[in-house]
Amino acid sequence: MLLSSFFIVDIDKFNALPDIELPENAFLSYRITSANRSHIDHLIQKIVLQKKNAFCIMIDLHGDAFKTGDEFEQIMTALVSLSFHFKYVKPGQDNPLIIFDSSVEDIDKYVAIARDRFIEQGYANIETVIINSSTNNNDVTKEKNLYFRLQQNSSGLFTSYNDLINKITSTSYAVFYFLEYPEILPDVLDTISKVEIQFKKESPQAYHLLEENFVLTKKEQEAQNKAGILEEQLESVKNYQNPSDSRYKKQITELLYFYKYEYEILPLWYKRFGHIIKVLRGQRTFKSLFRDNVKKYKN
Amino acid sequence: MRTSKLTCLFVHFNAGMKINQYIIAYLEHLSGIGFEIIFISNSQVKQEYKNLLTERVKNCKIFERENKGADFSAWKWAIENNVIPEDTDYLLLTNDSIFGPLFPLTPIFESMLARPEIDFWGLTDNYHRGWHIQSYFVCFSKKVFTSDAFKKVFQPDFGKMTKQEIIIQGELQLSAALVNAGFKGAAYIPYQLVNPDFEHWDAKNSTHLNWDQLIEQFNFPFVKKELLLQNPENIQNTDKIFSIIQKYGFYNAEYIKEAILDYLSSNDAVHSFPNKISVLCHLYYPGSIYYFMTRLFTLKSPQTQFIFNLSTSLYHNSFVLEMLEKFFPGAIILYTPNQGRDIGGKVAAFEILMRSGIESDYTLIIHDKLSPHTPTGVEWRNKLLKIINTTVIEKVFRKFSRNNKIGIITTNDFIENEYDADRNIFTCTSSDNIFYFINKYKLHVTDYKFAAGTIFWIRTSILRHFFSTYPPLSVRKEFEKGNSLDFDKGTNIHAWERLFSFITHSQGFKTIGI
Repeated sequence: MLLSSFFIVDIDKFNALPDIELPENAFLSYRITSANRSHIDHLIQKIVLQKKNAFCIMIDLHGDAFKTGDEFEQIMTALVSLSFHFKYVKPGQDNPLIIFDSSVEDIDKYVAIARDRFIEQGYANIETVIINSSTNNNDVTKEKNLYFRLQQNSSGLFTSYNDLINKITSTSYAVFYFLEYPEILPDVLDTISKVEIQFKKESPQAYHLLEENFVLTKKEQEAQNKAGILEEQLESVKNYQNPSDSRYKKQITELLYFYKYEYEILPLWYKRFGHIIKVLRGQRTFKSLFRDNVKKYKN
Repeated sequence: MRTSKLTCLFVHFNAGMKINQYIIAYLEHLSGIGFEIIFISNSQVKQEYKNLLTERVKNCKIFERENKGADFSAWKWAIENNVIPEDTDYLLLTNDSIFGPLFPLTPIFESMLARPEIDFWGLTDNYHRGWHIQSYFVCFSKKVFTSDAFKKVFQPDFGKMTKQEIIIQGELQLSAALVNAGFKGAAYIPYQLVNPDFEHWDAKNSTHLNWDQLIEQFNFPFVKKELLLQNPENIQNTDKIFSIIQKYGFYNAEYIKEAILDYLSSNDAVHSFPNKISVLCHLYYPGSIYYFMTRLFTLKSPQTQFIFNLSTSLYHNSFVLEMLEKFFPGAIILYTPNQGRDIGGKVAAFEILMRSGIESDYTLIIHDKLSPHTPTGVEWRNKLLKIINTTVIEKVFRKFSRNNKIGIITTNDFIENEYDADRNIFTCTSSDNIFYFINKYKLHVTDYKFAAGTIFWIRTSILRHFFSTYPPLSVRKEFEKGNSLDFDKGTNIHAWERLFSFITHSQGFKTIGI
């Protein structure tokens, strides 16, 4: 898809999603609301085994969804668990994406709570997108996040999306498709595909610019990922500095060879006989032959 | 070279009776530079692959023989059965243990054959147990391969020898005998070029330890198959082979992927267990992933739920992900930030196990343990992984079912006890951390044995009981970030290495070894 596209499905409608693979640059987004948040564990149970599609979570904060910060905290643990799934969308430097749908003024408070919960589990940060779906948002001249609310079928989508894509003036748009009925997803994808094919024919230059942007964005992300890998490997090398690189290389290697070839290869019965000899010579306690939580060596 | 008669004795083995693409490509290249190929397989080969080979490789004869004595036995068979054409000027012995060529071989042949003082040569040499040319690729002039010294090397019955004996009596003896007979041997990339300050007693196998330097600095045309698949020395940067291949653009990386797929397929198996098990497996090292996967095959069954937690390197490796999904189709795959090292990954996996409602009787806690770059690293790994050997798994289930006081089972060699009763401390840097958690979780411990290495079987009920009170993520948030070590000071992660057993003992169970 030319534009980053999120298909929003309420978490209690997960089972209605058809079993299809989304194209590149398309993601599922499971929406948590005050009405359906009790279904989170059910969502986790269903989603852990799915491997097809990248997904993220949208938290709907409209209508006093979470009356207190504590209520919001309660779902955070579940969201962190969901983010562990290898298909969870982690766009930049492997930070998980969370979409907030909110008109509340203190949205920053909720974002901060979420950020803290994720950071304490090891993430450097979270990627956030804040939208307000209660507004009528498909004016590309004003907004970068564009919404389509789809009901029982995708009629009207062709015209709407076609209008939208022909007005694109930059590449930093994201499109959110709110699917009241997840079953229509294949039709929606088909419609989007047809619009983009037509757009390619009618505006090839704009199409190829958008396509190139997508490719470059992907390469940028791959480069960031590679930087993350190299950082991990560098840390590993630093921590596990080969001891035989030190100036005691020969001594260390000789010791290790002695341990391996002169001690380790001895049979167990021989070593145990040695323990008895140590006891007889007064170098080890008798009780330590049979129990571990006693003094072992005599000074 | 153009006017010389070149013959190659190529040794092959494939339990699946196939000839992989990487072999055909290699032989196609050799044939293209003028070699007559004598293909000797120590296994039967399906007709479709024989047809493919003869279509793609001009001037190729195929022989099949029994699987005895590895490559030296096959070469011996060829010599004794007069398979080598009489007009051969140069004889190349090589086998299927290498991927390549990553660069054209012609410049190498032209360079080495232009040195009349060299009687036999190979690509690399090794000083371990005496100087020798490594036998995966050795070329001999006529006066060498027709000599008594050469023929004598191939007189022993390699079919009755172990692998180690074949190396000593074949590979090592070959160079030694020829040098003793007055012939001069050389390596295209001598070890002293790779490691100028080396000492003989410390010389390593450059095709493993210096594999990338050989390619990038010396245009070494091969990478050892054993390095990528089994990686016995745990070299950790081998995943960059694909970017190297892409950089030079001469070789098709798909050949290597096909070989990896074949390696995994040939080791794949599904079993049946009397109990449900969950496997919480943290995968960190890309260098040993394929070997480790073959070890995990012993756990595959309809009763097994795998949960893998991946490191950054593995998560971003699409081929590894593809292999995991192919060979462990029902597995849950996670990617968590590096917090708590392997224990953080395992705790995250248990969090998911609890939330997903998946039940099991026993849980295997495991990771791709290795001690990088230590001589004892491979032995340590093999000992720890003993508990997933097929015969040992049966014993584990029997022990659990016969004695309901057993909580944890691990390898005998890795049961340790650091508690000093006289001083009431643990003789490790994490003593304070351990006491902190004992107090925090109100553990009543009298037995301080623990499963060192954090690879063990445990009754799932023990984990459920504990983590129902202390949720996994509440535990995980106290772990240190990154690859935290306890060399200088204690860590919560290393405390937790002991704590699994202490929690088990506190619930009235015990830790035993097998």
